[in-house]
Parts: sequence; structure tokens; C-alpha cells
Amino acid sequence: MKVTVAVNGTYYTREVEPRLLLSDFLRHELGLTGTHVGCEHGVCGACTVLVDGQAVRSCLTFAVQMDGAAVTTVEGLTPAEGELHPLQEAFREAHGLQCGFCTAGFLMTLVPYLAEHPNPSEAEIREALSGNICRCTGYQNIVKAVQLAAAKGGGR
Amino acid sequence: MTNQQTWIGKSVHRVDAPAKLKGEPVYMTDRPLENPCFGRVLRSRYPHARILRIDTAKASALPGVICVLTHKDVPGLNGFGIVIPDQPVLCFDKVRMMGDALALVAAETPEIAAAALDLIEVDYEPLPIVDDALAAIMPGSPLVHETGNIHLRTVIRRGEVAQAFAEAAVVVDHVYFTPRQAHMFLETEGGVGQLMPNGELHIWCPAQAAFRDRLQVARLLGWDPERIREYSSPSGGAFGGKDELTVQHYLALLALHTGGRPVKIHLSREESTVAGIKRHPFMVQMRTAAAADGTFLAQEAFVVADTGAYASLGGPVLNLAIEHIGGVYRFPSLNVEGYCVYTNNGISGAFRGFGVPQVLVALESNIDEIARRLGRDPLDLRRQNLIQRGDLSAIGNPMTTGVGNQAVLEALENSPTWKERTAKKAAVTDPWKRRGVGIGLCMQGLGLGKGIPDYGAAVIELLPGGKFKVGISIQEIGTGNQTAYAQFAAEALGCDVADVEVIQGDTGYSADAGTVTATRSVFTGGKAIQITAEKMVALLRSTGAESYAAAYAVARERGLETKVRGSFAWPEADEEIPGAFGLPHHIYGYGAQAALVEVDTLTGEVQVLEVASVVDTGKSINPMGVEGQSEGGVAQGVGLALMEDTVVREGRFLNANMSNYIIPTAGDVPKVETFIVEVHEEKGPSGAKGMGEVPIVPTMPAIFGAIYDAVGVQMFRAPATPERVYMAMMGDPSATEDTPALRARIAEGRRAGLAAQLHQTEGEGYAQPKGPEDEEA
Amino acid sequence: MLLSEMKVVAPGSLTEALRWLEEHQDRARPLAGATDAMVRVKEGQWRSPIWVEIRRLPELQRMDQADGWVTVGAAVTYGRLLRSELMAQTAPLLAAAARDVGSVQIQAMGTLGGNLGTASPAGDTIPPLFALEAEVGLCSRGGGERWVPVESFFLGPGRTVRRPDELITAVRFAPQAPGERWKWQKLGLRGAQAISMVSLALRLQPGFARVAFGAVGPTVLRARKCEAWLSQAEAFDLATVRSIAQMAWKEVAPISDVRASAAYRQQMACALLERGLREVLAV
Repeated sequence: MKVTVAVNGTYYTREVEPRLLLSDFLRHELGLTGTHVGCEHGVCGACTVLVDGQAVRSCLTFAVQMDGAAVTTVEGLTPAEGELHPLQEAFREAHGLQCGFCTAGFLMTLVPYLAEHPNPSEAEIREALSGNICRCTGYQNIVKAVQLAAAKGGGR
Repeated sequence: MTNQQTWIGKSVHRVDAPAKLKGEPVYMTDRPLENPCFGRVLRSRYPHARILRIDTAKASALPGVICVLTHKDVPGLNGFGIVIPDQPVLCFDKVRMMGDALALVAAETPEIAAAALDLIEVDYEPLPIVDDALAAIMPGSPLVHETGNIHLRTVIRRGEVAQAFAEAAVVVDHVYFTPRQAHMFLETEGGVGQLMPNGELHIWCPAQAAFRDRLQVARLLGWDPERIREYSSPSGGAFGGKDELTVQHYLALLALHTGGRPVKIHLSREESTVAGIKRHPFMVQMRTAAAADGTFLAQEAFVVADTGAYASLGGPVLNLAIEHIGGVYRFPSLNVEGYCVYTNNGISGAFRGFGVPQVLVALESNIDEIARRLGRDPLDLRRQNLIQRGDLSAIGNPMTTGVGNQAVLEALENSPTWKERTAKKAAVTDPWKRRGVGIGLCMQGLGLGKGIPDYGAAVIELLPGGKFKVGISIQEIGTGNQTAYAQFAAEALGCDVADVEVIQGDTGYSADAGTVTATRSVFTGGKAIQITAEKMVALLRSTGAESYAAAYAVARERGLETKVRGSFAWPEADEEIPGAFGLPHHIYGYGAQAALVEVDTLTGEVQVLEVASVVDTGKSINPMGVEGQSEGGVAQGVGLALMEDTVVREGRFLNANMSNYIIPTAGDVPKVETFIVEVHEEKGPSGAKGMGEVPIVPTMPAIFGAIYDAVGVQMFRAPATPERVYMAMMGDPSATEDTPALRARIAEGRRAGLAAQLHQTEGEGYAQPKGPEDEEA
Repeated sequence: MLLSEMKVVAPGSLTEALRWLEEHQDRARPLAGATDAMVRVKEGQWRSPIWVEIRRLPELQRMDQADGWVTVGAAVTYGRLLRSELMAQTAPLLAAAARDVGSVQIQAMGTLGGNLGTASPAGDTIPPLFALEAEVGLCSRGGGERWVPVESFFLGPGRTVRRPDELITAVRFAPQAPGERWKWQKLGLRGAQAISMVSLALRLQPGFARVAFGAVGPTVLRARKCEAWLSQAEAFDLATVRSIAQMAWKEVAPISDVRASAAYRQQMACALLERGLREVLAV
């Protein structure tokens, strides 16, 4: 089946198997391996990407369902060579990552969240993060990173 | 070290953060590949069965299949395992667990590889299984291996145990059970193997022991290890779960049959759970004696660890647990009988804490009960019995290195969680909820232990412009050691952290520095880098140049070697503990935690509200990194205490995916306040010890103590799920496992265990075929 | 069957979608948010040869109030439910449950119709729909539209009265009364992203009570004895609340699984009702 998707601002038209997952489409067809797959069950959130601005699980989505959609992955966050998005910068400053494998999923969950909630409380942040599993950090520095990004202007 | 330091002790930002944050392909399962093919592993359909026939004809004939391999295609030793190679690479006579591998497939697409697995015909004759570790000790139990189900028996007796119990004012005796915790690193096992044009085999696979992996792969291929290169860093989490071979052996075998094409394997979450190692489930019957004045008199324990179908590190896990059976306290008398046994319950191995959390929950819970029965403050009772420098530990080890006990306990005592506990407990809102505070103290042996070769090595290369490349085989698994290594190097070389590139886990670049396990990576890498850096500084001096940039030019001009190497051997204890291979350790990390919990008395739900986590690091190389390890350790400890267990019934896995294997989310972990204590370790690099494992150890006992404090019930089985807590509060008979029947089985198990003729005498068979690479020779 | 042998079609209209279902009957299956379906597909179940993608059908997106009915289209996501002003006013109970489904990412994709079609006894939006006495709209090309009371819609775990040629198009219910007391509660093995061990939807007005439990029977269950006692109670002191909550024990029929035992689930039906009542009544 033919699918046309805008990924990080670039249009791609590909002939794909209907069963192809969005996560596999991004990783294998487009080589965007920053989106990780941790559980394949829609629980860990590592595969989170933005579809038309909303955070979704790319491991639970067929690529063909994305026809006409705009997808943003972690690779699309970085503004320019060498720079970090303010949210990425906040993660670096607050030590919001360890092994880093879950990180892209957290970032992509947080981008629309902070846009909608520029000044979240700690409890609200924890609720927003509860769809992403991190096995290394205990989440505390991730929460701090979000607070830092929010303080600096919503991470936008 | 009294002089001012520029980098050591500073919260330097992670050097690996930008690439990881940008989603660059830093992980080996993300490697871009040219013309790849895809490997899959055929796993067993039974937890225990004889293999009658394996027929791969149909699978081989499927279009798109490149090769199908069985045990006949293993050219060298068909076995692997860190301590003893008792796990077949590809099974031939029988299968012993659901994760056992029978065949390998490489195909043009992952889907064809999966279809080919379905076409491999295997005839099995199911065998009776043993799925209970205590039952496995008994005579007449089904045998997992011909040699018997007891993999290791360790017995240590010290002092006058019977007399001590007879004279004791208080004796507490309980049976505790801990779960088969899964590592659940986010990056499942995977990687790439490729036969290179120069005839070398390259393996890209996140791991924790590159050189040992290489040796194991060489052994099963019958190859010279020098022809194999393993790239093994970074890893998307490991926690001990990638200490054993994961897929390197499969990648190696397949790569020999794909005509030079890269072959990729990446396990699904379910396959990872079923085939990978887990934390050893323990049963611990522990009897603790104290005098009327609170002095601990004797400790007696019967410990059974379920290693599953293969040994992996089951023996050392048991022994480390036994080493810490008395915790941070003086026990003049000890009687401990420990067994590491085979069952058909998957396979257990290394996991952060390495057996210590499993016994510490029993010890600390028993101590809480002693305190209650003597009417003593639990913290004060612990203080009274703390090991001091110069004392003997419970197993009789003279504690001659930096003992952080006292400082750790004082920091715990001053933490708001403990100090303000009365007010915090009273702040409960709903009338059906109760709050409590509990504590746990621990120590954790660092490094591999007595008699096991333990060493570090590093290389430093001077680059044009006066920058450096530091090579160390110890991997970055998330702990932040890459940053710490850059800090050590920058400090010793007098350069900026940004001028240091750290290359890890590549057997082709640096010498063997051993594993990223046993809380040894900062100590080992730091020491190795400091020693190597001295040689680099000497090189600078020999050139007479004023700067490294100039030194490089001079060195090139004179044809000097610009790559220097250094190594050292870990300090170890003078005397070994008889009958307990690898014991004792020489240097210990110390920690303590206080947990505030809230229990819903209507449902049994437990919410951990806050944890004060104290760690003695010797010297914190990167305090922000220490805090991160502390917070992450507590989170894993909360999971261990309250929610995590890989449920295996009759050898089959009931919750192998992340929908039903529950690990904590951001809403489940408490606010963690970390208190760093630095009790200088003169043998460590810049006074550092190491702390990575420490923070998971005291969490479970602290939470169990807090549950008791809140609702007056002691939990004896982890995880303390809402159902278990509720049933215990209700006094439901199902909550009581410590029945006369269990006691009778334990007595029978102890008799059977001591009477068993072991194939392998205690303490033997653990010599590891390795030594430091003598690159300087 | 290889996954590659399956087909995903994306009809542009309801009529076209219904045609696929009519023509292919059991060989076709509607695909909405895919949050459950994809997991089943990966586990080797639900390998339908044809998946009919309905997530973006305009006819299934409605959320409106007219003639005493609040109507929610089948493809409305949990995320839209929990953010909706209309839901906040007319069915806060349903919105609260939607907030507890999975995670924000699941909420962005998963749909109300999908939750009904999957027919898990632990489906989080179903107890509120029982408590709201909602009706499920089904549509087929041959038979047109029919409305089925939600209690009659489910036959058992994974089984409903939906015929293979029918599509769930909408759910409708009368709005919750202003000032009505209500509570959604869920007991899982962790704070978020947990499959319910027991869940409860509770509505309380003077002389009126609705109590529905999830995950304690083959389908979601109404606790009618509890409802009767609650609607007749004169005053709610702690003793009354407890004695009514204890009746829930007899109204549920849970099973044991890897998450919890039947005995515990039975107790927890009582516990959640007691806790819910105490929270809304402040006793």
C-alpha cells in the first residue's frame, strides 16, 4: 500500500506492507533510529512520536494509518547541527537520563504536554510521565528536567 | 587528596547526553546496516524434555532463508556460562527451561526468519519438572542436570552458636521469600554479527564483559580470541542482565554462514524475559539471637537460591548473600547453610545487589522485631551493634578498610524522613490510611572477591592538538562511568573534560579491565586511568614540550609511541573464608535508607511517599551521578519490594511482557533525598569506593519496616502486593506461609542438603580461565 | 498466516466501511485506535485478513447533546473525552475513567468504541457506561441503525452482540444530574498504566444509585442490591456505608489470574465501594 507521511517536515511516499508498524517504518524505512522500541506492547513509551502534534505509541500504529499525517520524531526536535532543543538542554542540565534508551520517548511525550501545560505542578508532571517507563533514573531528575524546561518557557 | 581538584567531585554534565538526547544511533541495536539479514532463535516448547529429533529441512527450504543452524553447527564447545559452561549454546540432548535455544535461523527479513522457526520440527519427550528450589534439594526430585540439583553448597560456622541461642534473651525466627525480579532494561538483548573481509568476526552487542564474552565466543567457535572483536558499549540498561552472554554466541554462529553479510538479532520483550537471566528468588529461614541489653549474639540461616536451569553466576550470588548475612552488624556466632540449586524455572544470574537484597530483608526485619521485643528504638539498637573498623564481620572477615557505618547511620538519623517521622506520619489525610517509617542499613562487597582475578587496565592516546582518547573495556550501561572516566583523565592529565574522548567496551582498542558489575567500575576504571595517565604525563616530560599539543608534534617527530597503557590489580583480603569461594571481599560500600509509606487499610495498597537514601561513596567523583544512581536504585528497590515478580508456574512464564510484568512508573516512585557520606578509602582512586548497587539494597527492608510501623503486619514475601498486604492485615490464613508443614520441609531440606554427595566439592571449580592482558610485555 | 498477508483498508466514509464489513463478514475487523488490537495481533490472536480502519471516519467523531441524549461517536478518543467541556458537564464519571486508561499516548489513540468492541471485563470506560445506562449504537448496511442497552451488549469476555457486518457507531446516555455525587475508582498493581484488578463506577442522588464493577465477572456487572439499599438509605453514617459496601461481595463473580485472586477481588469490590462512598459522602 502506498503511504505519504510528512516526517520531521519532509514528505515521504513509500510503498509499504499493510502490517508495517509506524515504529518499524521510522526505524527501518527511514533510518530514524532515535525512536526506540522497548516493549512492543504500548506500555514503555520508548516509541512515542508526535502524530499531528499528539504523542502516540508508534509501536501500536500501522504506518498505513499515518497516510496524510505529520509525524515528528526526536530527530526532528533538534533545531540545528550541534544545538539542543530547550527540553533536551533541560534533560542534560538536570541529569534526566542515564542509559538514555527511554529518553526520546519522554521528550516526545513532553513536547505537546508542556505546550498545553506551561506551568505544571510536580504531581501533574508525574502523571504526564506515567506513560513512559524509565528503569534507570527513578524519574526524579526527569521531573526536575521538566520543571527546569517549564521555568525557562515551556520547553518550546 | 588534599590538593584542590578541578574535575573530581564536580557534577559535570554527562558527556554522552547530547548524542543520546538527539537520538543519534549510539546503541548497537540502532546501527545502520548495509544489506543486513535477520536472525532468530528457536526456543524450547517445554520447560524440561528430552529432544528426540530436530529436522530443519522444511525451514531451510523456505525461500529467503539463508541458513538454519543446530547443535551440529557449533564447531567448538557447545556450552557457555560465566563460571561453568553448563548451558548449551544450542541444545542437543534435552531442554531444561523454556528459554533454551535449539536452532538459529538467518533470513532476508525478520518475518521470513519467524516463519522459518515455525517450520523447524522438533520432537520432544516431556520430562517431569522441578519448579521449587527447596524440593529440588530433596532426594528423588527430578534432575535438571545428571550431576544433581545442588549447584553449590556453602556452609559457614563460627563461634558457639548453640550456646548463644541458649543464652539469648530474644530469638526471632522467620522465613522470607523474595521474587524473581526481571531487569527490564529498556533495550532488549540484541546486536549485529559480521564476518569481516579480513577474516575477523566482529560482534556489536551491548554487554557487561567484553573480553570474557569474546573468550566464551572463541571457545564455542574453536577460534583464536584475537580474531574476534566485540563492541559492547553503550547499553540501553543492563543492571547485571547483560553480564552473561545474551546473543553474542548466536550472532557469532550465524555470521559464519551469511557470506559476510551483517546479521542482526534483537529479542522481543517476551523472548528477553523468558530466555534472559533474572534475580535469584531466595527462601531464607533466619534465626537471630540478641541479649537483653540488645547485643546481637548469633545468626543462623538456611538459604536456598533458585538459579533455574543453569548456573550462570548462581554460585557467586549465593556466596555474596552469605557474606552479607549479618549485614553491617557484629555477630560473634554464625551458622549459615546455603544452597544454589537447579530447577526448570528459567535461569537466574547477576542483578544489581547480587543476592544481598534477598538476605538483607530477612536480617533487617528480624532486627526490627528484636527492637520491638526489647522495647528499643530500631535505629539505636542498630547503632549499638555496628561493625567498627577492626572488627570481624559476621563471616569472620577483618574489616580493615574504610568502614562507613557510623557516618551513614548518623546521616540517616539526621534525615528529615527519620527525624520528623512523627509529624510526617500524623499528616495522613484519609481516615482509612495509615503511615509508617522504616529503615534499613547495608553494606555491599566491591569487586569480585578473594581469589578471583580482578584487575583494571586502560589506554590513553595522545591526539593531534593535545586531545586524548581514553580506552577502557568497561562499558557505559547508563551509570555515568563514561563521564567519571573523562573526569579522572582530565584531572590526572590536567586538561579539560571536553578534550577527552572515552572509548569503552571495544576489545580491539583497549585492554581487559573486566566487567561493569560488582560496583567495581568507578574504582577499576578510575585507578587504571590514574595509573595510565602518569605514563602520559611522563611522555609529556620526555618530549620537553610545554603543552600536549606540542608534545604530540615532538613525539611524532621522534617516532615515539603516543598510546600508553597501564594496569593494576585490585586489593584483596589477606585470608579467604574456608569453604566459600570468592569470600571475603576487602572493600565495602555502605548505605542506609528510611522510607515513609502510606497504607490503604481498605485495599492493602502501599504508596511509598519518600525515601532518605544515604550512600558512602568514599569520594563522589560526580555527585549528580551519585544522586542519579541513588534515585534509580531506590526505584528498583520499590519495584522489588512492592510489585515485581516474574511468575513462573510449572516452568512456564505467566507475565513475560511489560503489560503484566509491572515495574514502577513516575507515579509509583517516592521523592528520594540522597545524602552523600564520604568515608575516604585510601586504596581507591581519589579515595572513591563505588556505590552503584548499594541503593537498591536497603529499600525493601525499609519499606517492610514502614509497613509494619503503619499497620502492624510484617511482610514475609516480596513483592508486598496490595493483595498480600490486605490478606496479612485481615489475618487471613493464606497470608501465613510459615506453617509447621513448611518447617518440616525446611528441616528435611537441611538434612538432605548436608547429606548430599556433591559432584563438585564446595569452593572448587570456580577458577576462571583468564588473567590480565599483558600488553606491556 | 504471515502478518504480511493481512490487509488494512481505510474507507473514506461510514457507508464504505460498512460495505467492507458486509462483504467480508468474519474476515474483516474494524480497527480504531489499534491500542488493543495491535497487541493481540502481535500475540498471534486476532489475525483478521482485513482490517477496516475507522479511526478517522467523520461520522464517528460526534460529541453532542440533543433531545435528552448525550451522544459520543465511536471513534472519539479517550483524550478527547477527558478534555471535553461537554463531558465535564454531562458525564464527568466517564471522563474520569478515560483519564485512567493506559497513558497519555494510549489516550491519544484509543477510542470509546474500541473499548466496547474489545469487550474486556476490565475495560475502564465500561463501568461508567453501565452506571449511565448507556446505549450502544450499531449500524449495518442491511439493517440500518439499532441501539442496544450497554448491559445487553456484552455476552462475555471479548464477545458482544455486534454482528460481523455491523459497526459500533456511537454511545448515548442521559446526562448525569447536576450536583449528583459520583466516583470512579480503579485498583491496579501500580499507580498508572495498570490493568484493573477491580474497578468501580458509582452514581448517587437522593433516592437513586448506580453501582457498576469492572474486572470482577465475565462482563462488567451492576450491583443491584447495593443500588437498592443505597437508594433507600435515609442517612449515611459509617456503619450504614460499611454494611451496604459489604453486600457487594455477593454481587460479583471474579476469577483468579496472575494479577489477583478471586477472593481478594471479591473483597476489593466491597473495599472500593466503601472507599468510594466514604469519599463522596465524607464519612
